[in-house]
Amino acid sequence: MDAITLEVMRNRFFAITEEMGAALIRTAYSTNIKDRRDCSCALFNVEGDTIAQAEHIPVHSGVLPWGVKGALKHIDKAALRPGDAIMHNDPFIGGTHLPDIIIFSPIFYQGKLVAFVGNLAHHVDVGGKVPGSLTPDATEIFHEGIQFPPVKIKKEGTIDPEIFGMFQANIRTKYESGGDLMAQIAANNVGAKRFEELCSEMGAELVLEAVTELENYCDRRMAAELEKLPAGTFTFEDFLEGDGVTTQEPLRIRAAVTTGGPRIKIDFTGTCPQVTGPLNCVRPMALACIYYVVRAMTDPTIPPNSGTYRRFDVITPEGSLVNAVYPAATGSGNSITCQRLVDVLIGALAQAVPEKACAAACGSMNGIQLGGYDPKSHSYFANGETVGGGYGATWDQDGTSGVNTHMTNTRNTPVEVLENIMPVKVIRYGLLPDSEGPGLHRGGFGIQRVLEFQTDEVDCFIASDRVAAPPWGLSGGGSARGARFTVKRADGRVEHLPSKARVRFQKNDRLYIETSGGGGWGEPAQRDRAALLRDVEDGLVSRERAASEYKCQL
Amino acid sequence: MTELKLGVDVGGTFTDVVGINGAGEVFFAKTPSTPQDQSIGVLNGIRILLEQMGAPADSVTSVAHGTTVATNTLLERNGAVTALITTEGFRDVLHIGRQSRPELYDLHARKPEPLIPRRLRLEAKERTLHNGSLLVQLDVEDLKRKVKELIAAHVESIAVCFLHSYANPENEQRALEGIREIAPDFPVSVSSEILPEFREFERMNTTVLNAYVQPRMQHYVSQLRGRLDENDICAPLTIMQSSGGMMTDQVSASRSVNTLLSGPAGGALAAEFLARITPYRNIITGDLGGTSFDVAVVQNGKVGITGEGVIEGFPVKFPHIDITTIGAGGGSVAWLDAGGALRVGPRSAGAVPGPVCYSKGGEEPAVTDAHAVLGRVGGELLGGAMKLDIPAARRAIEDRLANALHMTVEEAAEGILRVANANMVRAIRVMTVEKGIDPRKFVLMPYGGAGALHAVDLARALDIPTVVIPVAPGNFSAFGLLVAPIRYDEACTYHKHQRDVDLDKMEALFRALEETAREEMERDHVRREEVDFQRKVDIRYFGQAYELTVEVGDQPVDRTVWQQLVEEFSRRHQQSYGFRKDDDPVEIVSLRLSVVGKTDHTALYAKSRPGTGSAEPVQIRPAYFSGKWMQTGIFDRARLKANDRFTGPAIVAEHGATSVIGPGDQAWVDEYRNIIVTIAGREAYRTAVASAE
Repeated sequence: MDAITLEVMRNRFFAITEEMGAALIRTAYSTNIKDRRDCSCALFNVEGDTIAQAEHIPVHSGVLPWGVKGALKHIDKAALRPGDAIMHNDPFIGGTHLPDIIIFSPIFYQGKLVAFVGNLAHHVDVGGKVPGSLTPDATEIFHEGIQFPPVKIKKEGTIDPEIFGMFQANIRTKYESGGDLMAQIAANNVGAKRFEELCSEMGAELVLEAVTELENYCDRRMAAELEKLPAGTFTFEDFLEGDGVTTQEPLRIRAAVTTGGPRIKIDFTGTCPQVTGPLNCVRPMALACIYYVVRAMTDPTIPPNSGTYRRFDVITPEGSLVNAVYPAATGSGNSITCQRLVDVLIGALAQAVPEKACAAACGSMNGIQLGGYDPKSHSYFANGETVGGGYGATWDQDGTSGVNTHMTNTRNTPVEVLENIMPVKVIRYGLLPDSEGPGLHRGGFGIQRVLEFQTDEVDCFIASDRVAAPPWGLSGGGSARGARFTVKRADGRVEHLPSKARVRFQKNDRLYIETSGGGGWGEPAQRDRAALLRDVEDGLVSRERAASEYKCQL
Repeated sequence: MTELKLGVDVGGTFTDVVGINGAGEVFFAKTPSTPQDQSIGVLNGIRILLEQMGAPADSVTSVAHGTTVATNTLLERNGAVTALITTEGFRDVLHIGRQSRPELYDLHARKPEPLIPRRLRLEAKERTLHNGSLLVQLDVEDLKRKVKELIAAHVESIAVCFLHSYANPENEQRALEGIREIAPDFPVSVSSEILPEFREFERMNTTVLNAYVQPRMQHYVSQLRGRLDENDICAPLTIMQSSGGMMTDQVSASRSVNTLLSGPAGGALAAEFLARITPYRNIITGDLGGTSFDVAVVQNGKVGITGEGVIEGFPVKFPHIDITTIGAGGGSVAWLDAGGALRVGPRSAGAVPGPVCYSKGGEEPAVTDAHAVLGRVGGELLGGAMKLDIPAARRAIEDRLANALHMTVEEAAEGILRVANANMVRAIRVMTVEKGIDPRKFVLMPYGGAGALHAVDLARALDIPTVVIPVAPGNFSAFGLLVAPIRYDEACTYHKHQRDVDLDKMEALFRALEETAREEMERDHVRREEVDFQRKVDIRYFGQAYELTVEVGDQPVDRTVWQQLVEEFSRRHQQSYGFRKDDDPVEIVSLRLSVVGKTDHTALYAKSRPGTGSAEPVQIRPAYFSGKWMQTGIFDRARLKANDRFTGPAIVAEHGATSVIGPGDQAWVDEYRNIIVTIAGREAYRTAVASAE
């Protein structure tokens, strides 16, 4: 296949997934998807391997093919018909946590199955013991909501009213979730239509040839990059701050990365066993983190598909935190554990290619779930969001401040949207001074978001980490300030929360969310004085900190 | 001659003027741009054109203007020293944005620094709630104190953006009045006027962009108006917007942000116009001037419009023609990097000092110098108005590049063009291949002074079989300003759940919009019969965040019209997304009225009388192609007639532009005097595609 045809096809596939994403966001009903864009779309070959994925959320994109491949083992592929849509949210078949619902559809061209189109969307509620479903005290998956094995939500173009009814019956936010489910189906409709058009325009044979060629092309590019890595085995370990249920003890995550030649081996042996609390990851989540880090630390422009990762040998001990078995709770695996897996993998590869690494980022997606029941309107409300923090500095630049890091890239819930849909008032939303990891290049600043509750009996669930052990620096750079979660009751009482917490708020109580900054790079005392002075004048670094951390009297 | 319409397009290097008189005759003029004050160049150009036409200044009936003042201000980061005043607790919204990052997998990518540093982002005690109720009234005296300090600290422009001001602009209005009291003419941009939509970051960012570029734009527009008046040109001045419509000079001065992406709009509209009258319905445009290369795509005769975009890493929210721009042009400077590689741009020598051969003080070799050295452009430009110092260009390339590269001057010059072309190919790929558009099924339409110098090489690199060079490519963008339809877009918010929609109220709001449009038309001397009114409604399912815009014709709104509207929405939703939800309620968000001129300009573009079929060169001289000097026919564009044919290597000279036809390329002239170039070696591909279709 000539280079231009392949390039056109590659971009055509990519454009299809981007258009799917636009359709999903434009037709969705919940803030989590229409505003925060907590969803991802991709195209798959007939085996369920990724052909192309939109630039959405890395943890979704890495898991999605396993969600499709896993489901294909449970259904009769020969019985698939045009217009079918399969839905599931089972982490143990291939997924993340129960709110992430995967819907995929077969694409037929001239009667033949040619590809699959699919997407994953984080639903605002999937039942379970609390509004928003993600509860830090879950100890088994049954606590976390309704589980769907692969089921045909749509059969030959018609929504199955019984399954749809069952879905809605188990969910607190029926209207929004119904709309979001239709939006997921709409995204696949658009993707399938475009893929069929591509087949009729270019010929299905050429399109399928391009699918294979693209995989080989990505494989060649990744192989060339892996060859460039210095040979060796690089080991790194880091810890999570307890599971939030049975232990406050550090939970070890360990990875040994072996390079040399056109392959790479990642071995998680030495990682702690799966835990009682909801921090568990299934193997596809660990794979998603590996895909992310290796791309980021080789050549991020290599397109992602199954060819890209052909030369990865991954060991995830069964029953460990990175390959948990049923019926483990997985609610916060992606928002906390995956971010730590990334830290560990970057820490290991930083020993091989320091110029490609960054210091530790804020280290958690800082999930904040709010939910309750509004007696006035007789309806449930629920909203979840992740709060960004600082990115780690690199050898050449400061880290970005106030941003979603690594495995997520959802947007914030705008203050004006949040106040419209939830009984909260936002008191402050800004960068958190003195939260950066100092360095020749400093880490990014964390975020402070202060919520004041406007009604009684609002349940709040915090899923975070890096409170006790803050994000580390590299090459002499300092650690950032850890995250803090503080409650100020209406009567003036102050409560300091652990990183994983469940709190009930009453009217006029306030929650102070303060996320970590990113780690610094290089000796703080060597920081450019003008750059330091700028941070001081901008009120981001105090004079005291300039003196104590950067050894500079201003 | 009862009327004379002018189109004036200011580029980085040249200012182009096009005039159409009442008889439909088209005249062109081109003059160097004057970056210090673009209006000087504009007036120079108009004067040259009027002289050429023998028309008095007061015969000008309208001036349509495309300007890059706002865009350049942002690109060069030399806008006003701007301060932001926002609600207490929210000054970092500008920095945080939506909390997302532009490059997912690149640990070294960074977002651009906000245009306003944190120390100039001030917070005011005030608060409006989401339902529009005022919780804390703005402390105006406190605000005035802060503003005085800002002005004393040499702040030149202020953006005001308070939370929930889309729901109740009262506090923002109070802030505006407070600032007006202490500084009546101080530039202030208020978010509820610039973008009265919810989602604080998008509104704040767009308001800040406006505040940042507005003082320069305002200064420019008033200076230009003044110069026009001084020269007895009292005709209305309209400015091209990013959307491809025109707005009045006053509006453009206060809403400068709407012109940020307007620079390349004129050319794209002209290409769309050619797509209507020629068989070429699918066109990739390549506008190459002195400083930038702009690419747009016309597909099935329509130029692409998008509502959300990014300029310089900043998201913007207003409709604009979908265009990719890179810093590459005739003025792009060629240099050797630390590793010894030959680089071209992104820095440009601009109009001043300009390329070495322009003899305006330029010392660094630029792309134009390479063309001069290789004989692609002759010893003079603009019909002799500008002489080129080719020996100086040779010396510069030799001293600064060729010696260090151990190459001949010609090899180094050709290297400059190869590197420049590679950058341009990448820009075309962004707009085509990367969007799943196969460039091989399009024609490439180059314009701008330098577009046709590179077009055949770009087409060859992208396997595009055909290049269509329009008449007067150097003035094509200015021509686009003339064919741009008069357009007024009015809108108002009417956010209502289906059960709360009041049809009489809706009708009243539409009538109010029509009244506003009529006032604008009256001011601009537009007659009712020259335009079409089109009513539209932004509508969605309750719960969604994005609307579909559905046309409702112009009959009064009643129950039948409403039912048709909802049905049409559901039908379009089904068509776009594959489902409709007849059980779910709809909600309407805003009402829109578009007033679009129906003037048909087709007649203005006269067909040419057929020529003899074989064009004769006016001169034959050597030019350098692919490593050797070749005898090359030089053709005078003015003498080319329909059906004339010739084979490359050839160079077509005309006022304001030069076209290169490569060795072996076949050129013929169509009935509109476009030069159609079939790229050598691509004929077979074209035949194959044609037969496949």
